Amino acid sequence: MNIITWLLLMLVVLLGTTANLSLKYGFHISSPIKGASASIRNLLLSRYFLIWFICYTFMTILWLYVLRIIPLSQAFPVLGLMYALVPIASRYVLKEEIIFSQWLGISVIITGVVLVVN
Amino acid sequence: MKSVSQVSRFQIIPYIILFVSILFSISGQLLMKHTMSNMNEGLFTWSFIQQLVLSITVYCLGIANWILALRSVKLSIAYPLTSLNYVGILFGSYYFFNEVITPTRIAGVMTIFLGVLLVVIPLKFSIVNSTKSIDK
Repeated sequence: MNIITWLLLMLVVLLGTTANLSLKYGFHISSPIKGASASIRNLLLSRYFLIWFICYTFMTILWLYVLRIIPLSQAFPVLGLMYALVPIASRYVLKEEIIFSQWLGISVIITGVVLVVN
Repeated sequence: MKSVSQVSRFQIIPYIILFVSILFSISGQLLMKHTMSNMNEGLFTWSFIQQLVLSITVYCLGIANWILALRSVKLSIAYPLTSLNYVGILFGSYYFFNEVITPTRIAGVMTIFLGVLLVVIPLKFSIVNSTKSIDK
């Protein structure tokens, strides 16, 4: 019973990672050369914005469900796993570089999440 | 002189937007928790819907400001600043919901915070490059 809630919380984290990544990718593609307002319009019409929107909506609904059961002070730090997943994902999708100290940071975050969940 | 003030205004306003976005998302989260833990009478009572709409609106204001800020602030600066959320949420859930804040939990939040800084700080080289291009 409780495990399902924690799994849902993990799903929230995954959806959040996808959402942020596609938003960044959308900005990446519609990056402005001169006018910034034009780039916002391009972004709002692009499919990456749609992906972001869908992910965020589902994530919020799941999050509300999770909040009913897990205390806020415990559930919210788990969202910090996103900070660990986003760099890993942006390494593969956005071809960003990850150096040693960032890998260290990612493992430190995971340690912290384990501490909070305990 | 004029160019200096232009540059500083260019940088400050997105940061104000960023902090407003952080404040909105902290209040949104606290309101959501409040709403969800008070839903005893059922899912579709009028007061529940009112509270839910209010909390989601506040949270959406946070998201809108976040997008606006992200337009000009680098993700590598904006992301670590959102970890101020943890501080706000920790205090908020202690004062408003009387949640137990164990030392382990505080240590965990500190560890996460440290990890976030470690992930983000190496990217600062690209920030230098971007301010250079703004100056130009």
